Amino acid sequence: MEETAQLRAQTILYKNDLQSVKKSVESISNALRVSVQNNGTVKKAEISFGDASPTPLMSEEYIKELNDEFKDNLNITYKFFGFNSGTSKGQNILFKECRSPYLMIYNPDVVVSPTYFLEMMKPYEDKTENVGMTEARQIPIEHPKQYDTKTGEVLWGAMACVIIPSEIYKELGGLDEENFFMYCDDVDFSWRLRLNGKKVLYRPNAVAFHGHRLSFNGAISHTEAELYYSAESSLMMAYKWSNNAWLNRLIGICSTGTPYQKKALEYFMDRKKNGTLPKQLDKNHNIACFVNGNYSKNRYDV
Amino acid sequence: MGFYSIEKSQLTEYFNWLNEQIGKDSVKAFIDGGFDECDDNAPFLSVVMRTQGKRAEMLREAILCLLSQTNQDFELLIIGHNLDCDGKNAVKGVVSEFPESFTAKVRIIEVNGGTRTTPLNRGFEEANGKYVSCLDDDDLVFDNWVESFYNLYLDNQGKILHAYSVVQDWKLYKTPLGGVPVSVSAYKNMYCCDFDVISQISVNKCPIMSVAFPSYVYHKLNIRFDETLTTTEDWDFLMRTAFLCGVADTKEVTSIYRQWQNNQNSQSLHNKKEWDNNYKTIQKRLYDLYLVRRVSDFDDYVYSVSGETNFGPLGRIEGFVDNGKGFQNNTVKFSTEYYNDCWHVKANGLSKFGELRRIRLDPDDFGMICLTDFRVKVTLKDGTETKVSPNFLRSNYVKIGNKYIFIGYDPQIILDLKKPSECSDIVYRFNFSRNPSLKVLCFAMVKFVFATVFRDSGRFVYRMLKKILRRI
Repeated sequence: MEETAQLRAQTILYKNDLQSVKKSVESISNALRVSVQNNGTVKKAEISFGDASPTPLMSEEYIKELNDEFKDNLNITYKFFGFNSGTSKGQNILFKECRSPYLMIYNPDVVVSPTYFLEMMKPYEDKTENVGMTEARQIPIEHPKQYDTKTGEVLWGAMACVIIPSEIYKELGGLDEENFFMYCDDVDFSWRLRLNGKKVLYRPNAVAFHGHRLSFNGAISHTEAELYYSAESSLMMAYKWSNNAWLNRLIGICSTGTPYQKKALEYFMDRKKNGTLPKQLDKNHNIACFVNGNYSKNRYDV
Repeated sequence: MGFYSIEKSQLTEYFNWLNEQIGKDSVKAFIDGGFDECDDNAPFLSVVMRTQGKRAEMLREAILCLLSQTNQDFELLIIGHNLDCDGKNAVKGVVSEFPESFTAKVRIIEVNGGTRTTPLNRGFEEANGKYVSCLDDDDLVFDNWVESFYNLYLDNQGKILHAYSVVQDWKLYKTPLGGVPVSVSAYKNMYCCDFDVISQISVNKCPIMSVAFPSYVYHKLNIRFDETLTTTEDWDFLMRTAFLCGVADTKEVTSIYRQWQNNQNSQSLHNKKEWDNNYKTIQKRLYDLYLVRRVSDFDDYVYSVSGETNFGPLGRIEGFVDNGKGFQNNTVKFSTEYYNDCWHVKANGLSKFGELRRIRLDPDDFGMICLTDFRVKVTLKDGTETKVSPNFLRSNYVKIGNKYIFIGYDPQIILDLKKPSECSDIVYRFNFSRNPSLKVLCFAMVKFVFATVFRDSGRFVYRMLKKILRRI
C-alpha cells in the first residue's frame, strides 16, 4: 500500500496478549471493508503500535505476517520504545510520524463493530460542525457519563476508542505527557478541545467491545496502576483546571487515604515545591466540570 | 420360590418416574455410563440466538460480543422467527458485515409459526455442540462468556453449567442518530449467586444466557421447551433438566441482562394473568419432580427447620479484608471447626495483604441467625495477640445479653483495626444458631426500633440545636 492512508490508528502496547491484539486488528480491517462497501470516507488505514513493555512483544516476522494477512487495507508499523512511556507520551511519540488526515487512538484490545468507521466519520462530513473528536460507545460496560442523546455532544471523550482530525491534535500539542502518565489525558485533551471551540461527540451507534470484566459481586474492579494513576491524575486535573476547592478537598482525602492516594499526594506536593505544576486553565470555569470525583454528570453511580 | 416385592419401594417409584421422563433406553445409558460419542469435530458450544429481525443495531452488538470471545470454540445459530422481508434482509445484512473467518460458523435458520418458544426447540434440534446456550439478540456478554463455560465443563461434564449475571436497566431513545440504547442504572447483582435448587423452585435466578445445557438433554433425553408456555419457558426447561443433570457454578460474571424500561420486552408483551397461569403450570410440574441430591447439600434447610440449636452447622462463610482498596477483591478463605462447645472460624496468612484496616466476616448468606459468646482474637505479624472486644466491631446485629441477632439479609461483622496493621491470622469463636426463638426475636425487633428512633430523634435535636446556636 503506497499512498498515504486516510487514517492512522495508534495504540500503546504494554504486556498485552497478542491474540487479542490481532483480533482487534482484524476488526479494524473488517470495518474498513464495510466502509468501502458503503462508500465511507475511510478506505485504508495505517496501524501504528508503540510498545512500552519491558521486552518487545512483536518480532519483525510477526509484523510481516500481520501485514501480509491484512495487506488489502492496512499498513502496520511497530516501534519498541524501550521504556514505559505511559499512554500520553507514547501516543505523542507515534504521532510524530503521522501523515494521515485522521488519527484514531484506541486500546489494543478493543474490537470495533463493522460499522465503526461509517458512524465515527459521519460528523466530519459537515465541516461547519466544528467537531474535534468522535468517541465510540463501549460495550459490554458502557460509560455512565451523560450526553445529549439528540446531538451526541458530551463533555469529554474516553480515548479507549476515538477519532480526531490530525491537524487538531497537532494544534493542541497532543496529549499532556508532562502531567498525565496514563489517566485523564483524554479528559484534559477533550477540555482543551472545547476550550478551543471544538465539539466532542459521542457516537452511540459506533460500538467498540472493550474487554473489561466485573468481579463476582457485580462490581467494577481496578488494578493497582489504575488506583495510583487515577489518584495522581485527579490532583493534577483539579489544579490544572483551576478548581481550588476540589483540589483542597482532594488533598484532605489523599492525606488520610489509601497508600496509593498518599503516594500520589506526595508526588503532587513535590511538583508544587519544585514549581513544576502546569499552567492553570479555565479560571472562569466555563469548560471544566467536577462532580463527585467525576468529570461530567453521570446517569448513575457505578 | 418366594418373591421379594419391590413394587412400592422408593427406588422403584423413582425409576418408574425416570422411565416416563426420559425412556428406558436413556435410563440404561445413564447406568452404563453415557451416550454415544458426539462428532469429534463438534464445537464445544452452540449458541442459539432468537431474533425477529427488528433490532439490527442490537443484533450487531450481540454478535460483536461473540466475535470478541476469548474462546472461539462455538457455532452461532441465528433463529429468525417469523421474519418478514425487511427482517430477513436486516439479519442477513448484519451477519455479512462480520469477517468471513467468523461468519463461517454462523447459520441463519428461519422458523415460521409457533410461539416465542418454538425457535428455541428448533435451535436445540440444529445444534451440533456438546453444550447449548441461548442468547437473545439484545443481550450483552463479556469476553469470558464461552471461556467460563468451557473451564467449568472440564470438571463437570454432563452437568448444566451456570455463571453469574448482572442486571442493568436500559432505555431505547429514538433520536436523529437512530435508535440509541442507553444504560440508565448501575449493575444489580441479584443474579450473582450459585444455583440453589430449592429456592429455584419458587423463583428463577438464572437468566437463560447464564446457563449452558448439555446437548444430550435434547438429543438423547428428548426434553423440549414447552411451547404452550408464553413466558418463563426458560425457567421451566432449566428446572426439568437440572433435576436430571445437576448444575455446576462458576462465580465469574459473564453476562448483562438488559431490562428495557421503555421498549418491548416479555414483561410488557404479556399480561399479569398470563404470567400467573404460566407460573402455576410450572410450579405444579416442579412439585411432581424427584430430587436426587446428597443430604449434606441441604444443610441450611435441614437445620433451619429443626429449630434453635447451639451446634447447628454454619452456612456459607465468607471473609474479606480491606488494605486500603476496600473489601472488593481481597477475599479470605476461612476454615471452620467445632470443638470445646463452640465454632472456631480461622483464617491464616493474612500478611500477604499488607497493612489491614478492616476485616469482615459474613457468617451466613441469610439473616435470622444468632451468634452467642462471640470472641475474636487477632495475631499480628510480629506475633502479638490481641483480643478484640465486640465494642470495636461494627455490624448489622442487635445485641441481647450475650446474643448477637442478625435479622436482615447478608449479615456482616466488620472489625475496625485501631490503626493499619499487618496481621498474620484471626480466629472467631462463637455459638451459632438459626431461627432464634420468638421471644429473642421480639426483644431484638423492639431494641432495633428503639435504637433507630433514638438515633434519628437524637440527630434531629442536634441539628435543631445547631441551627438555634448559629442564630444566637
